[in-house]
Amino acid sequence: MMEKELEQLIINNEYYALNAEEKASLAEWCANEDEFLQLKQVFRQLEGLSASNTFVPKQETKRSLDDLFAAKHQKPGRVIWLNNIGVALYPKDKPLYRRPLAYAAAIGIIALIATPFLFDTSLPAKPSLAQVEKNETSPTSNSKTKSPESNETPLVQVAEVTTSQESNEAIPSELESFSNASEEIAVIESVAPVEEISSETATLSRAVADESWSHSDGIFKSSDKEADDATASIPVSAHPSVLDLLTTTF
Amino acid sequence: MKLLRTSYTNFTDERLMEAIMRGEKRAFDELYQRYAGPLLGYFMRMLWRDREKSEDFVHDLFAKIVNKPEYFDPTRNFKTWVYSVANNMCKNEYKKAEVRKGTRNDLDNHFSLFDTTANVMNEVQDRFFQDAFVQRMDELDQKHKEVFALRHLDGLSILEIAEVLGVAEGTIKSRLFYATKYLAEKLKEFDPQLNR
Repeated sequence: MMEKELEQLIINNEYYALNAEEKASLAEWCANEDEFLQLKQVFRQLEGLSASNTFVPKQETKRSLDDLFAAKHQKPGRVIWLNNIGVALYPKDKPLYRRPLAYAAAIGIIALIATPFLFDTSLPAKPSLAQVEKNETSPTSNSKTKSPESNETPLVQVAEVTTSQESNEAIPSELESFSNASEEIAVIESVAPVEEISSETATLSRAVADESWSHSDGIFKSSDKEADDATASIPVSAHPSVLDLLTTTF
Repeated sequence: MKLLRTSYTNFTDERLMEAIMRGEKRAFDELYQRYAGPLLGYFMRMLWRDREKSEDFVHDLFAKIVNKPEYFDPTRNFKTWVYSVANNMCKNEYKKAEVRKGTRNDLDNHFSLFDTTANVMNEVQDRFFQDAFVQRMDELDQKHKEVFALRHLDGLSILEIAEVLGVAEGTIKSRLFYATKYLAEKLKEFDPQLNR
């Protein structure tokens, strides 16, 4: 058995726990239990002794050796690579293609060539935004020209013109912030189809004209002469759809 | 082309020596850090606990490494080589001491006059054992002491010790056995189990 194994056997076991084979292997070292315990004591204490037995040399010893090393290895005119970027980037003892500066130059050239392709932002020809807006707004402007023809009375015409003006400005009004209440109303009106509203209004105005121009919840009363002019008042409660439009909040 | 500093902490002793031959200071620092303490301990044990002398020997040994690193054969184990050098330095010192002894009075300057048993009742058991151990070890003759110290305090294997001392393995085992038995016998008084 190796010396180290014998030591571990002695340290880690009790004498009575050893078998005959182990005792035979230890016979040379310890013939009886007392000798076994003596060796155990020595080995155990040695473990602690070697761990605690650390020495630290003086600083003067190290400084003296450092001076000696510097005197031995310092060569006059020697270039220290850490302090000389030129030597680090362009060492003369290496072929050109292995010099760091050559690497950097190659990377720079590749980057210069590749940049126009990487950052090419030119797109295929598309219709401009202004043109698209123009195309979208043109049908509304047609309805504006048609709307006076579809109305029969000046009463409806007033409402119609207002509505068509608002629908003409539908896109800009959506883009702008709603700064006051009148603009909000304009947007609300633009939501409903213009022709539908104007036709309903015209029908109502005709029905109202047949009446006596006076009613209990009306707002406005007029004489017959005034009825010829384009002014009228209609109870909103008579038409829920109009009421909904006016009371809708967005 | 190296742009980053090399870390020598993972280098083997032999590779550190190669770097020292190239004049790399930090390799020398790393080697010094690894071996200066253990070698100082070794010299302390071998040179009669003389701290100043041991410091000088550590300095001289590393000065040899700085000045003549080519003396080391990189194919060899550095640890056994450096302990061989240390052991030879101790042998030379023993010879010098013998000469000095003949020119002075008959008192052995290296004999420890410090009686570690004087305050035995005030010492902690382990600390007392350590003192006694050192004393008993100094009582061993040189060839047994060096084997025991290299084996148990410096952690060298029997094969390495044989290489360091240039002695056969069997001889090392025999010396180790003798030294261990001697110390066990001398130190048994400190084991409470044995004081029966």
